[in-house]
Amino acid sequence: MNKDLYTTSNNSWNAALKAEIEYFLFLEARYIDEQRWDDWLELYHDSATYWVPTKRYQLDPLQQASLIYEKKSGLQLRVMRRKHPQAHSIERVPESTHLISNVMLDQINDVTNEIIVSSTFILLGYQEDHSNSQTVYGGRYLHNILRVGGDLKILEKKVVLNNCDAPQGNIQLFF
Amino acid sequence: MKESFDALPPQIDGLIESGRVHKTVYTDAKIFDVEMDRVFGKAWIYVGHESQIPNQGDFYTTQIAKESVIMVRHSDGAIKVIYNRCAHKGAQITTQTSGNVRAFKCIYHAWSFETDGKFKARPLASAYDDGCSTSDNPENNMKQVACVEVYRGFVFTRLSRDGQDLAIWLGATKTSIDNLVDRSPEGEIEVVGEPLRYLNNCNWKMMVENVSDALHALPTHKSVSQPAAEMATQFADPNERPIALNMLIPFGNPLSFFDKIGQTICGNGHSYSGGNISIHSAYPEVPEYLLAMSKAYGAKRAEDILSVQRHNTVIYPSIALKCNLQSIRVFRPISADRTLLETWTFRLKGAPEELLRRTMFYNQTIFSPASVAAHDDNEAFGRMQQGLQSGGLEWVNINRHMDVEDLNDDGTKSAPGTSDLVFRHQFEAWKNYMSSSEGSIS
Repeated sequence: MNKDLYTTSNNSWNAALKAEIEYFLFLEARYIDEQRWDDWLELYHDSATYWVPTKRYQLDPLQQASLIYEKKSGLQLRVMRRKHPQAHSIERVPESTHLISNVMLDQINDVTNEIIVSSTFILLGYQEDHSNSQTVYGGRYLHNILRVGGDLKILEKKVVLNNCDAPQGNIQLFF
Repeated sequence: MKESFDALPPQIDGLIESGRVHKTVYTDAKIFDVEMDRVFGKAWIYVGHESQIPNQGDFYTTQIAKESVIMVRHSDGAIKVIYNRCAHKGAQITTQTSGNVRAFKCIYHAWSFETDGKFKARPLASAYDDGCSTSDNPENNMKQVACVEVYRGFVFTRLSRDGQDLAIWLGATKTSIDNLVDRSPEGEIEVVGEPLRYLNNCNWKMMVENVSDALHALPTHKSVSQPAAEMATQFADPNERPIALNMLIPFGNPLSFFDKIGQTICGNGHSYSGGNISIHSAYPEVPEYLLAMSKAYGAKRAEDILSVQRHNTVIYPSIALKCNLQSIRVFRPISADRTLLETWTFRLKGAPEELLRRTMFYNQTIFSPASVAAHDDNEAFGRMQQGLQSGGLEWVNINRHMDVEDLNDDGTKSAPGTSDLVFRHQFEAWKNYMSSSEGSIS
């Protein structure tokens, strides 16, 4: 994505489009929270990339190793692992709740049919363990969404955590 | 330190027996304190790579044992490592991980120091009672660590004054560093960005041991090696597969493969696994790179360099490096049950970007906090850390392939890949460091 977060928003005000995009983002969050993995993957375009950098304002993924930088096949592999009976670290199934807000349409390209959307999120996670504590992640999403016929597909998703450069324990949840 | 050591119930000697170690070496907070003093204080510990601080005044802050230290490029071009503590009232001089300074200056009373820690200036200088001229009073300097040595760009420090020179101490693992660096057509490597930082809820030794633990890959990582193998069936040509699959499928290799990889102990607790084969051997080749190598070194020498298939090399106790991939892991112990893993990505100067992409992708896939493989390791570590709290049993078993070892010409010893020889060797070095307070941090 040659456009980073924190740039001035184009913010074309198009109520219908905004409602449609918001619904789409909420749907993605809901699929993850309800662990409907196949439905979730369906939202991604076949050539999608999914990026969780360890550096703010990073445009080149080779500049520094990321928490995640992969194609759709990487997400598919994660889902396959998720469903595997011997995925030991998730025998106690992690639960998540996504809250998405501040959805803004940053760029609408009528030629390529791409819509760049920024939003903020809080992700509350819980996995039964010795401390029984909840985990909180927060940050910003940048979605590049492609309109294909009547469908919307995620072409790129970038997740910039507030603490992207901090040491992290297991990140088992999907952002 | 000595007080807490004397108060320990079991003496260090009694914790390590033939083929078994006492569980408290992993769980006891007092033993951890002694380890920081005697193991991490007396061994050469990896600080960083010189490419992190190319210019005068560049610095990088990290943790050695319990000390915050600053690795810095001094004005004469030399690399210095100094304790991150103002000589005046003791405030940390920097809270930045990295940066560039002309001089270090304390935020509290504005004492300033040269980049080798030497006292530079302070306001109202004359009122201090130094007993000699201000700049000559060594107590006014930030303290340098006792020893710093650089081997082919790798900066090591030893907090203790006494011990072997780095090159001697590294022994045969020196050749692993050589091989890693020689894989650059220009004979130089450089760090790319900040490391991945992954917190594990376990004792540092579990993580160091896991690097050489060929017995765990199959049972622990099935949840990813099996899906990877399944996904690979969609691609007739292995070169067309997503790169992750080539990295993950070998985790599911049969145990006979892991035995065949072999392991070699090198003295001072150091070791390497592999030699002729490793789980990285079967990656697709990059023709452009092979060409650059043979142009730089000649075909024969290039082939010799690239034929080394060491899987992991452990430079005990602080780092694990890979030669085939330009990746090193650094273990930073935090407490008896908490360890920070730093995974660094390197670029081979003069090599195609494809090699950097491969290393970075490997590090992200395997060593990142969001790895598809490491969570199951961390789960095993966490269960051991919990299980060892049990009073039911006292000992941890390290007797696999006991006494099955071959002496090599260079004095190293080799054993089957799934042997516990490496662990026995690590604990021999551990016991050696731990048994005496002599030479610990002065």
